[in-house]
Amino acid sequence: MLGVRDGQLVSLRGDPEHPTTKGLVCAKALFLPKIVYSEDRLNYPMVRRNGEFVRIGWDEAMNLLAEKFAGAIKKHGTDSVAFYGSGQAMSEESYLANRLFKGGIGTNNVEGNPRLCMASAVGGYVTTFGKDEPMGCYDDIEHAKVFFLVGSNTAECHPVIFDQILARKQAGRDVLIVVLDPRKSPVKHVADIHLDPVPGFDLAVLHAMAQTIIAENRHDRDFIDKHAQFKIVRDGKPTNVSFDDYVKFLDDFTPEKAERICGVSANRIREAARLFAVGPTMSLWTMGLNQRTTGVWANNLMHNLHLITGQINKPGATSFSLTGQPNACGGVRDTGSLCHILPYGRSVSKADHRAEMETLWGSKPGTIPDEPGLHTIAMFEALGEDKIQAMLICTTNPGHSLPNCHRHRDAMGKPRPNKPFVCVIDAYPTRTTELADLVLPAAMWAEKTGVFGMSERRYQLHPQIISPPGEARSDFDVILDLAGRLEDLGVVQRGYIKGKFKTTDDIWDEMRQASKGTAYDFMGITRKRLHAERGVRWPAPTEDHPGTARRYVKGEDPILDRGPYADNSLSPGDTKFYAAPDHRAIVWLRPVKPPAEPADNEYPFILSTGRVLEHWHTGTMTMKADELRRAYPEAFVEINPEDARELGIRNGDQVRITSRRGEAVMKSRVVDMPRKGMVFAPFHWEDDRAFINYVTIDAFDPGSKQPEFKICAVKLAKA
Amino acid sequence: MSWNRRQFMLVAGIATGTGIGAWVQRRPGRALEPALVRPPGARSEAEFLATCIRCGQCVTACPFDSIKLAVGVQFGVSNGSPYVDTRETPCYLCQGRDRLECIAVCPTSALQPVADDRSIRMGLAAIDESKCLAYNGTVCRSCWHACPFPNEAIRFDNRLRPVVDMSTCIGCGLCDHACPTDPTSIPVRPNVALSTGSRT
Repeated sequence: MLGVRDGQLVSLRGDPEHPTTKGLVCAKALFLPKIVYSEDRLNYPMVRRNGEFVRIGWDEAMNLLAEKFAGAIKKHGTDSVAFYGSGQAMSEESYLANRLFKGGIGTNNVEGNPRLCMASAVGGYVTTFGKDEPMGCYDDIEHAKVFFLVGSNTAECHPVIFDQILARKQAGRDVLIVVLDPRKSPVKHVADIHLDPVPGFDLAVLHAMAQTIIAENRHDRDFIDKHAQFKIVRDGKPTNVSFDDYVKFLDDFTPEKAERICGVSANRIREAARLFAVGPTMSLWTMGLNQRTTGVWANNLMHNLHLITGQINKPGATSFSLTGQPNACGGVRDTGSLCHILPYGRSVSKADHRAEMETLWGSKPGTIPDEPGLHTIAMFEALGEDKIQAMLICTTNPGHSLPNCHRHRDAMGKPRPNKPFVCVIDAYPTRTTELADLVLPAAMWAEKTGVFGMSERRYQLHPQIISPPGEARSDFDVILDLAGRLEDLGVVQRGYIKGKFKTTDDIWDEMRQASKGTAYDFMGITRKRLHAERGVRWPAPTEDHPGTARRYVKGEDPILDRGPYADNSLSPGDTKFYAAPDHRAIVWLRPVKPPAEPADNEYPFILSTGRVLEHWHTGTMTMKADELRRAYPEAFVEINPEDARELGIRNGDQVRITSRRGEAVMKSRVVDMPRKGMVFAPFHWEDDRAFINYVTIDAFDPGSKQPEFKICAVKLAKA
Repeated sequence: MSWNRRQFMLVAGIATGTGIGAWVQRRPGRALEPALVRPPGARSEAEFLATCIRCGQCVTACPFDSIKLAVGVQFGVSNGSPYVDTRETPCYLCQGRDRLECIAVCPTSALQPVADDRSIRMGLAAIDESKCLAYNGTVCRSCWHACPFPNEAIRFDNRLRPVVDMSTCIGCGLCDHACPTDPTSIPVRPNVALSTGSRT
């Protein structure tokens, strides 16, 4: 809830009636009014001329942008342009950009920062259940008795949700928390069992839990027979195997064997497995599993545990991936704004899916290429090789957030003949705008209207409350304007976007239409309804449908009642994984593979990056509030006291962290949080000396293409 | 040599403070409560005021400019003596150095050597639950993060709200400095225990 006086935002409070937050906000949100009115806000378009930024008018700026894009397309083809968007943009903005690039220009070079945070979760849900997005919801917190928190510092990164878990734990003595994380994050303080594996080897823990559950006959054979199938990848092809094959496969992962692989005591693994099987168990995980070269596999193994125990699709029992950004789910995953997908569960590689979107969008048949475009790391590599000649970066800060950042910053900004044209839309000067050729000022939160979609599939409307500063415009407005100019320049067919939409309200109806008949069906979530309600969870195919708490459950999920997936032979409460092949979710037999860059003699420590409670990602917003800045004035690296003693590093010493790719110097925080042999550094500070993303690795998961921010080898020295 | 402000204050401090301190020392039987958060290693308040000669060497030696001189009549008997305004610049415990510089340079042992950082008792942080964000519907743990002894001096309650452990808190004020509310929700009070010479 926002307090506004004379058109100025003055205060923010939690909404006690909101079903998700129940009135609680985190410190980041509290200071949003200050962040919005920061003196640093960009107020007018700027172009780089002879190395300096010069103010120009919107018309000139947009003409330049359109001409650069049209020029590149005419000279080098449609795949010479790219869009890099964000889980911070409104759903309508991502959808419009996706529509323009894929169905208008005809390139699948549409990516966004959710590739860096959620792609492995998408890969996990799609490979196991057939469709993306969790089946459960936040209501499950109120029913769960065992919380399995994996690779998630929920206490700092999802503080409001974590408070609900704590409230639940306080209310019932039989509520237990199991934590799987190599770092003792604040979550550990309330954990009943803490499993701390050597970074990169947690897959062994998950397999060992499954082994224990089956060996001790705690699995749900009936559920497995009805709803699961088993697969392994052999010679590059998924092959069906039996339950017995799975049991045999798990023989390599008895708790004792796992202990030798990952360093977690066998007994603790057994205890965790037993609790898990009793339940009701709600698993929650984020970057610790996703930002890995084995990210998709790790996600599969989480689902495996729920499938073999039947701890799924019941109140309190669910396999729930927490999303990092406010609108990674609704905005980027659901609208299909990544290089390999199309809106609402469609894929670019399926002819019927492309045809459906081309028809709805009014594109010429065959406009959408049948192969995925460039994923994030490949996209910035192509930019560095000048294969991409024009790029639009929107609501995100890749010049700070990409791993192995020296290389990708060079791609964006290093002066060279034939250098690609880079346009950045942002509300503030950032480490990315400093590399741009053209910077456009953006309206931000509260200054524009749009929908965002949360982890639990809830779509909620953010109405515009105040006017943007100076000449700032919403990203939606800019993309709309660009589309019109590209039509005029002949690279997008006339009337494709121009004249069809004026506001985000106009495009919402088309988005609903795009979801119709899919597993995402939200035809019933009308604009009118969004204004009246505190968000609605899809699927919600009709206006009188209240929204869906649990998917794949007859009686709750309307997709099972009508449409292509309907099944009237089921009774209420029955599970049906309708999107999976043969309607059975897949238990994958995944090997345990070491990280891309394990520690060795030369680089003996594992570096993991992450976040703190008071700051948001690259700090472009939260560092604008003095109150939040003073909480964390400078970058720091957490070092285990034992390691610090051996290295002669004391609390507060400046430490140089060096990897094969780069180095960063920051203050040490000697504290018993990271496991011995591991160091942890948040990435919020833009100070070049302490820039941890110069150090991180851009190796990525072969399936999800998500980079391994969580694990790379470094050496430490007093600076 | 031209005098800057700091040097001028040092001399002013010496001039006014020394005499007053000596006067205080002559009054028998009176335990004196410190009005200010003293640098680490300070003796009990009465002894401190008597032994501190207001030379200001601790002010000069402090690598973080944390120590200031109390200059002005409002400081009464403390006029000219060193103190730490933890809200503005807390004591960083000479992070990255081998010794506490203020104690090392003190010529009169008004600041006495400490066994280790943990035995310092400059003051005591106390959370004002009526102001603290964590107790009023906003999730915030800035003080916990800033604390040099997290999970010891500032711990969590079962809702992960910060709680000060009175027996471990050394009064450095890093929490006070980090607190996002204005005014602070975790002020550091001078250590009353010092007045009795007890170091708990």
